[in-house]
Amino acid sequence: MMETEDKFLNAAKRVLDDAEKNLDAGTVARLRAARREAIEQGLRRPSRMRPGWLLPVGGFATATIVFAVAGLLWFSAPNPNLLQANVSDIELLTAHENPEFFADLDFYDWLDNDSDAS
Amino acid sequence: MDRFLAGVERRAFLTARFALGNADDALDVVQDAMLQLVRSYANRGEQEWGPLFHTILQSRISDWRRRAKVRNRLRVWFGGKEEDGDSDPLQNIADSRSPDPPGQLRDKQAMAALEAAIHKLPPRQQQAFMLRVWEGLDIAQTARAMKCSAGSVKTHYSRAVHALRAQLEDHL
Repeated sequence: MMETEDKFLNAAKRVLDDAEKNLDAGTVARLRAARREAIEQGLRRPSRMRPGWLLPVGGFATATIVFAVAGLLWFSAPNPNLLQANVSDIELLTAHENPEFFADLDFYDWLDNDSDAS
Repeated sequence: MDRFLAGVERRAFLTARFALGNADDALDVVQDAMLQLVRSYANRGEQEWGPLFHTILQSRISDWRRRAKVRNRLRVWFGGKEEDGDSDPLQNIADSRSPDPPGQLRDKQAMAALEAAIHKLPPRQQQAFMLRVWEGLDIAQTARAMKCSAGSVKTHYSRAVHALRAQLEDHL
């Protein structure tokens, strides 16, 4: 059994070796050109990858930026005008008055002041 | 490095061609593998280049297969016809002139049958067979090149040999 298998494997190897030996001239020439190109390119630019020491530096820089932005958001004092505007907007949205009342609010303020004055 | 690559390029090309079924793609894959070896491992010891080159070549072949699968899916989604990966290995057979036409024809037929049968094997079986039988790597080296366990190599190799013998007993 093993002998037959060995015979078969040797025959397969012989066929493959012959195929390698008898590769056509066109393919051999293209392989040679591909090899020269690979060597030339590979040696011209030894490595496209960044040097190893840049990885921790890059990671540290990214972490610093993230912490800086988070700190800025966390510690920056809230803008009182913004807060006030948000509160009055909520009041407007939840009020039961007619929307026209808010449109004429300046007029009612003036009327109120005017009646106080008189 | 040039001498080393000159020594392995033909086998690498045939291995890639058996796997991909296409000479042009095989050439691209081999050039890619060569470039990667030169670029990343030129400064390593010469005895390391062989195993490294096999590993790179096998992963380039796997990458190519994955990309081809995605291309085929896209082509099917957009209404095109699926690319036939099994197409015509006979087309790629070497055209060398020989003073012994009957012998040459016999060799050609054996080669065509072997190439077609290897091409039909599942990728992992193909890799295990080519690395063990043709490149002469032992089980541990094959496992490293295939990035799998020694047990898997044994299984793939044994299945490959069984399948090829069943198909090729009359040709070889």
